[in-house]
Amino acid sequence: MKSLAFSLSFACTLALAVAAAIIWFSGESPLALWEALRASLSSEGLGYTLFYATPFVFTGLSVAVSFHCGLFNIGAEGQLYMGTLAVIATATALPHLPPGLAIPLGILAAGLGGASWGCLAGMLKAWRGSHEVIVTILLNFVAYSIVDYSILYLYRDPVSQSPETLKIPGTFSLNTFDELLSPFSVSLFRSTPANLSLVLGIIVALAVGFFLFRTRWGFELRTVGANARVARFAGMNSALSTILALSLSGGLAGLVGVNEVMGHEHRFIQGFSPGYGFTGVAVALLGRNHPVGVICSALLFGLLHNMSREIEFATTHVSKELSLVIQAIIVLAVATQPFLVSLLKRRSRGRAS
Amino acid sequence: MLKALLFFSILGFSLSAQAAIKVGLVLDKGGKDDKSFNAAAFRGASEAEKKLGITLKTVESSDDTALEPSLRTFSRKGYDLVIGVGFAQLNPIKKVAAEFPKTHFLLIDSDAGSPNVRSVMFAEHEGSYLVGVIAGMKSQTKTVGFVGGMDIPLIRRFEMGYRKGAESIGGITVVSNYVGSTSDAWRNPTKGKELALAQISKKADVIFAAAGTSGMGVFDAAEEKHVFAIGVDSNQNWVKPGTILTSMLKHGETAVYQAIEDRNANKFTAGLVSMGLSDGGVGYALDEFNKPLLTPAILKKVEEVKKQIVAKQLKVPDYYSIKPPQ
Repeated sequence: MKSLAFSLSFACTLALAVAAAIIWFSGESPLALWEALRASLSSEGLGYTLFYATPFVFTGLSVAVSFHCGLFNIGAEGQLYMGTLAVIATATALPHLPPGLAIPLGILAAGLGGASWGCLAGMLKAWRGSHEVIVTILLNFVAYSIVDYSILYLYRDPVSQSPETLKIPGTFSLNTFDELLSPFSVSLFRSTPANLSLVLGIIVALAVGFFLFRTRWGFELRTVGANARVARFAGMNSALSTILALSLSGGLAGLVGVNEVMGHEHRFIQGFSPGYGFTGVAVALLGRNHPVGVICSALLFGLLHNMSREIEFATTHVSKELSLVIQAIIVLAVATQPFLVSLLKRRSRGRAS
Repeated sequence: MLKALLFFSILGFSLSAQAAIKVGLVLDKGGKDDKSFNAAAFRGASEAEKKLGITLKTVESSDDTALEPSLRTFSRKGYDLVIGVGFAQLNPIKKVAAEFPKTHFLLIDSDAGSPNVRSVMFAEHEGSYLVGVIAGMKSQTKTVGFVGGMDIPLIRRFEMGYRKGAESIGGITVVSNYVGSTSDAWRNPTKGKELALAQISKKADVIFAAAGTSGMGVFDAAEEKHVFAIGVDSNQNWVKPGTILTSMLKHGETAVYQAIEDRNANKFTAGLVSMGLSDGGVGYALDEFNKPLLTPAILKKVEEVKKQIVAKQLKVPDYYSIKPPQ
């Protein structure tokens, strides 16, 4: 955990320094970065930061779980759309449920929707030996097509110009923090879409941590990830672990639908995700595949995503893509960190001798 | 004397404060380089910045969720006029306009119906009718094509006007295709080209592309097969001179410039504004690039039709009157 904190702060410092240099080279004050950061942490900015962090928690966990089983799931983007579609299908099919039933059912649907898609990749990997990277990437496109078809021909809002579904019944909505705080006249999170899905995300992260490190199934999953042959020799079913890992991974990605549909838009807007699934890989990498680390790095990525907007407000010429540059540098810094650290150590050792 | 000086300095101050109004422009995912509608709005706002001396701030958004906080940030920072481009901003503008009743808003391509929002919609069918007439007259094969971007009511409106315009020439067949039904359809030149080639094989020799960047593929196909294409939104005649017959113009820049000018002169009015042929909101492009392509007979005819539409002697069928938008 200490090394994680070190690597995070090292990566962030490096990235912010480079970003500040870029702003300075483009002829503007590097302080704009500070301003954007401050705005992203102000009452409204914080709400959006948390809102964007929520899907990153889910997709980060999704990728992390597959990593623990030695698998690389790049299909979180498709899985999260399938999860979202499942929420819409459930809510449309069962419009008269009481909230006490509707909300757990919606969450379950999101998870199962994503899990089914992950399971498909898992079965192909376990029984046919198809490489999961290829399969999950390609299944993304199948998912996009299914989702597009469903939005346009099954659930479409006929009066809207944009391709989006009708609103789901109100019983399926999760409260936003703003709504929860409104009786206390607190101005925090005012009119932002940050909602209870974040709490769900944290609970799920803890559950994933418990599953991975405290249960037999989690142990088998990690053992298969460490060395599948040894695991088989020890009598573990590596095929089952593979399927389980990718199903779980898909299910976690599918929960993004809870944040988007039940917490925020109450409808499925085609193409709502700005690449949550793919960024999930970076989130998991940065969080060292540990659930707590994933939460921390998801918060960071939520902040950076929100900052892309604030950077445009704080500067004249610098565009929102600077935030992607910062993200990329953070990832690079984390990935190359062992190398950099050993380089530094060798140098200091050389100097000492 | 001192009093007079003070008076004038206050006057001067208030004048200068009034002169530099702040305008915030929120573009959608297309961004300011989409060579189409966002680009037009950005052009109008930049022109206003140069000519009227206003302060302009432009932001693009990475996802649709970001539209609302962008609009709100402008409003909270005391911007005098906040502009949203595209129908995706309808709901965000409605919400933010209600929170900031004293701020003025401009919404393009949709009707918000809020008391402090000016909503501008264009009579795309009228402009499309004119280029339809041009296409119908230019066609040797008596077949013209239409390639739409995303299959939505807005683009159906283009198609219907174009079809009626072409058919008014007599004996014309119109073939029509759409690139897709999702927002990716705006940026798929490969598919645009494929569709255009298919239409050319069906004898179409003039193709109108109302398809965003996908239209570039249509232009490619037309150039390759030596037929004509028609551009959309901005004047695209320069893109491939000799191939692009004309462009259906949708003057987003005029709408933006006008709103800024009105706000600057304290004459801003809210409500729905329809911009059609009569007020120069839509039209067809004629410049040195396509002048050799348009015969005097075509120009005479199209100007005649234009006059008839402006004088309301000719009513162009409107897709929205069949299927009203939200």
